[in-house]
Amino acid sequence: MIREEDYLAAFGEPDEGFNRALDNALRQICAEEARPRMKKKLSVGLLAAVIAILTLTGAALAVGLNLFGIFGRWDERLAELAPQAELETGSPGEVETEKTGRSAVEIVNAYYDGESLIVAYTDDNVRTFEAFTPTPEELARMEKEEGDAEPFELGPMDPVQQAFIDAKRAGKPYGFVEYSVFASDQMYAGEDVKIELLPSAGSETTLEDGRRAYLMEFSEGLPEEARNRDALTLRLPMLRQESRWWFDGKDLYLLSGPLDAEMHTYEWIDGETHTGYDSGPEKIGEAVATVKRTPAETRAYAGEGTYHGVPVHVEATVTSVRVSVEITAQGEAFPDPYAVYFENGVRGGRYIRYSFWLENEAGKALKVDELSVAGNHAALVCYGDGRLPAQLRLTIGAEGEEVSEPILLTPIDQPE
Amino acid sequence: MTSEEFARRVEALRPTLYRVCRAQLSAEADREDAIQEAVFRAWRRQNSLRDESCFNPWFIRILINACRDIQRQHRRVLPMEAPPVPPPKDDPRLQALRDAMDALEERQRLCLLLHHIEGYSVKEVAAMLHLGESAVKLRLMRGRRKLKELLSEEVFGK
Repeated sequence: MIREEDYLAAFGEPDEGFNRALDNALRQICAEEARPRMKKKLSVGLLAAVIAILTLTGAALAVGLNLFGIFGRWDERLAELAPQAELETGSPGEVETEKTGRSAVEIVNAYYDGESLIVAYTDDNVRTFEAFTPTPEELARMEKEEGDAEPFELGPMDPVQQAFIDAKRAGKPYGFVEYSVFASDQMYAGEDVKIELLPSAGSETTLEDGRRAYLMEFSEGLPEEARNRDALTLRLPMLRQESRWWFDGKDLYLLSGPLDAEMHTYEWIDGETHTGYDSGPEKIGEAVATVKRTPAETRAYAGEGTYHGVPVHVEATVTSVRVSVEITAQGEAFPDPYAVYFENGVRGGRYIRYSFWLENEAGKALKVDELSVAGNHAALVCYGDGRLPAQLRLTIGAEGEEVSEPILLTPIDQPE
Repeated sequence: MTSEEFARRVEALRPTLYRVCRAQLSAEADREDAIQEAVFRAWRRQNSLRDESCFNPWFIRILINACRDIQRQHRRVLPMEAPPVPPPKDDPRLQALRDAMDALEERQRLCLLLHHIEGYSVKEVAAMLHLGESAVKLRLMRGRRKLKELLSEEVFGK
């Protein structure tokens, strides 16, 4: 059995160069803070321009919310796709509970081209907290936590959570229960048959009105039932959850799920079957939306080059969202990393870390999403940048070796 | 936050920061560039840290992004360097472990490192890597499965 200590030992301690770089950076910051700061004044003209920009941003948010535009601040591809991300129909999920009041989940925008699906949605991120002391029967349902866990937040902490942390650190008994209503991170597609869509990437942010906005991308291959349809009906479950923390002055006890949950059998992410109380969130509503398929253009590209002296032929299929590249060599140009690792039946052979860079004509690199190499074939999937490029350049490399000359890929139906 | 407090918090994270860099960048020079860039970015963006008790995951997220920027800028591979810490010759098991982790896809390696070695919850890892919790769970499952296959041993047991 490999243990956590083995992994810590395997990674080793920071090397001298790393320590020196970190120390230098921290020293520089401390030295800079000691220098007197120079204040700059905004010119009248620049100040007026800043006010105008802020006003425009506020107006845009108030009139029509397009989350692709908001997430597009960090991802140019989404900004390009924003005009094509309108829904055909949409119906938010709205519920009201005793503990959390009224809240809603809404699918706001979606882009679907038959192969790729990107969905943006919001929830009210409702969470309420109460102090809690379990009865002996309730405590018997809770699980004793072996580690030294504490509530964690990336944002401000609720006063009840903070009171719990303060009490725990002081060795005093305290407990709280959190009630929350939120959008599921698993989306479903289809009218009669629910097809579970597992996200391959996602982002989130907080809007000015306090709602949380999420972007979910399904580019790791939509299931067959969700591909190439004229329109897609999306269903986003709205979930309710309770979480209890109790510190008795010495030990910590946790419970996820309602106190009256039933015992059941379930399959966990390790693929094994387990028995326990149903601690999962409860579905209490659903947001529904329909997105029509955008007739996205697909363009094919091809090019020839060499890698380690071996001729390679490259073909790419490009949409504004996704780039799929197939590389075929006239020989064994890409030894399988795992095969090399196990060469001669001895574990510990050299492993190979390949690197592939794909750039458009402006020199902008497209982010790699998936990569597989074996023998005389390699396949690469990248995120698009919202446009069809005039041409692409592919560079291939492996750790410790020279990279290939860039291989130019041009549209197949256009002359080079 | 004063520079002294900032430096103290970063210093407390030093081993973790090294492991995060090591999981994404194999070249020593790249790791040195990444940690310096992360320190300067974090210092400049202190206003984006709304709760100082979240300093650790906030800083790690900045470091992960700095490592990725270096990966994108990388154009010429440096000659193969010796492993940063030569493995003890009487412990081939640790070398096999290191090789197996390095053989994983980077996203799987990062998820396993942050969750099982550094101890962050799935929710925290999702926030640091800008992924949904389901995506993190998928990568954890696939990474553990691949490690088990490579090492022929159960992984991440107590």
